[in-house]
Amino acid sequence: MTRLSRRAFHQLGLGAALVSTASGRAFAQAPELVIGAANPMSGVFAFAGVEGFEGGRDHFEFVNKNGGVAGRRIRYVNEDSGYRVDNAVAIFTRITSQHQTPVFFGDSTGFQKAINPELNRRGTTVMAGASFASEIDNPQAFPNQWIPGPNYSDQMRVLLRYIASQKKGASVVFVHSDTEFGRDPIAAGEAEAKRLELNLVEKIVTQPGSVDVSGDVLKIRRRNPDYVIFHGYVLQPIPEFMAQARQAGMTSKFMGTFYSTDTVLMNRAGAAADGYMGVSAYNFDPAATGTQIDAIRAANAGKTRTHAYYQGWTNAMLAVEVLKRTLAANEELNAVNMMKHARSIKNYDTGGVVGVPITMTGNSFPHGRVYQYSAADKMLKPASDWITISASS
Amino acid sequence: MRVGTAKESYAADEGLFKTDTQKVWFGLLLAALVLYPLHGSNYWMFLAVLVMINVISTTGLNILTGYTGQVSLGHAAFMAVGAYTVAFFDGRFGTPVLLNLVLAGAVAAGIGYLVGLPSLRIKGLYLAIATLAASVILGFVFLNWTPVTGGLRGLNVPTARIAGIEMATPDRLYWLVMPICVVMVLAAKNLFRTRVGRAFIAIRDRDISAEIIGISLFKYKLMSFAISSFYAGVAGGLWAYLFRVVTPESFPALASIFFLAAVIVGGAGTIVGGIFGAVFMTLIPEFLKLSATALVPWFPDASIYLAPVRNIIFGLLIIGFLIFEPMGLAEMWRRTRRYFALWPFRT
Repeated sequence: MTRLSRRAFHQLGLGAALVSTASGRAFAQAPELVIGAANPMSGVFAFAGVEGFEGGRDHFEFVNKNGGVAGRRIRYVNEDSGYRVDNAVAIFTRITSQHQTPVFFGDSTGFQKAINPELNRRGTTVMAGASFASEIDNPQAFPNQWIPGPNYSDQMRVLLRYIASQKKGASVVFVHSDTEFGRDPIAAGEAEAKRLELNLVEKIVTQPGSVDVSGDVLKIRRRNPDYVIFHGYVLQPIPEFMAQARQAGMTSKFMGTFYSTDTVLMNRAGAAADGYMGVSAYNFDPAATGTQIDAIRAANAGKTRTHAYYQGWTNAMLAVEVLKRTLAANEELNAVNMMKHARSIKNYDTGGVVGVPITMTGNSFPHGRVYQYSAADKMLKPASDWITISASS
Repeated sequence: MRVGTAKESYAADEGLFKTDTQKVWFGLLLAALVLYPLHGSNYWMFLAVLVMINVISTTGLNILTGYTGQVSLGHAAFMAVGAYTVAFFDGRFGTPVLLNLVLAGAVAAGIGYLVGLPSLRIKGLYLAIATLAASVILGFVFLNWTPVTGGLRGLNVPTARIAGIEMATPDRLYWLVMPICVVMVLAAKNLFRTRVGRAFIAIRDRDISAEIIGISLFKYKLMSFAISSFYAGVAGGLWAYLFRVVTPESFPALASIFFLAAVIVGGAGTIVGGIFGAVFMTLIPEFLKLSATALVPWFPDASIYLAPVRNIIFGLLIIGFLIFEPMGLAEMWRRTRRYFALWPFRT
């Protein structure tokens, strides 16, 4: 009979301990949480797509460094959509067929609308994205999506309420692009202007990237409004409008909604953009404090980030919160459970990314603030306090 | 070297398949199309469906541009007409899928017929601009005829259903799109074995000569526009069932350029060219993206830096084809076939 020596016994014990530790570690390592994204890294919306992607990426890195979600690391799988619906649908199909993907970030209103029936049919994935379309802010029609801020109609309401607070009966001109994106908040803006007894004197429709705006500038000049609000543009033609208006000696204040208020755009317009005002859902106040805003600053030392970056970060933050709440409730990560927890977000502290506690209303978070661009400092500065649009207004 | 292909009748010489080898290859192709879904990936099914929709549309444009010599920059607008027709009839009346697709083709053909009217007076660049203008007018209609098109918000399309089976996913939709694609491509191939198809080719080659030999330019040019638009309408209808939402921005003018590029890259005036062009234009950007994605484990931000490079490579590939193979991919295919047919001899 073979005798077991003490040395052999110890070696066996050590081996067993190593094996059990190794296998134990493997067993304890929870699977990654995969979050998919179709961001426009090329094409007309690349400037926002890249920033949006980096915002999400940085937030997930921050979360992973701090232990992940319930001990599970987040894996962010992103692909370039080129801002094309068929590309984005292909990306969605591929990523969701390769991974279990509880959350997916979309690149456009078109894609988020196109994929909505599939999203509802699957019942496994919830979606957020780059769109602030008013149409998506409808829990009945879009039960599995959210908007990381106020929808375009509410953004318009924030601007108009700010104007009403500054000057009673002020005259306003709307300038918007001839696209689905551009027309989105116009009807709501007209109704809000009427309610606030503002004087909407002109509505100008242009092509989205049009450069020759001299005719339209003349129209605005004839009206000489107190405020001009832009909506539905990506950079052009706003700098051209402002430059020509200033050359013509106009004193109107220029304003814009989310994508028409961007430090890239402002810096390009230079002195002509001085005083431009725009609405944002996010906190550009240098005095803002909080864990999340500190993490953004730490991840971006020496960089100026645009709205889209904050939007990517916020979407990621909300996704993590939804995953955390669902896992904490020990519930399956399906669309019904996740949206139930998304809709339970009330008076949520965003760690400084939004200056007030946020509450999901419909599918959106209708909190916004008006900022003003300072050409001397090359930055947006708060011009109003935070304005919340209630569901009934 | 292949032997034994002598023809003993005009009918044999005009046959759809001229050799037994072609019949075998076609049989293998059909078998591959039937067996393709077995691999099971939803993503590749989606791409297959998208490719086949683009094949139908490109074949339609090829009939007009490649075979009849009429340039059109409004092809995507005819697809939009088909998509809206399906969305309207299925959404409003719940009519059967196949009827909706026929209606999509018919409505697009009717509008294509009207848009083709200027082709009787103008051609070349002038006609291209006229068709572009028509697509702008159609865009205006989509945006403002709200009771029918849903205006700005567009229309949602119900899931395609055949015999009670819901075709919500690409793997099911494949069985609707694939047979339609095969039938329409074969129909296009057959078209050019008929009097009508030969009239189209005669008009393309020299319209004045065609008229002198008794071909009615009025009749055949408009017929070409109508047939081409029918293809676009059916493709648009299938597109609507795939994406299930149609908005005024679903088919931008750039999409017309996409199909024109597919015809040129594939090889204008050959049916197989339309297929190659649609496959190339749809899949190459996808493969380039896949190659960028493959680098992500080593370079997490690869998608940021490679996205513009990908577009440049795609653009260069198209330019390269135009410079080095102006007859398109179809000519490369023809040379490949000739090499094997004549092997071991070389040409």
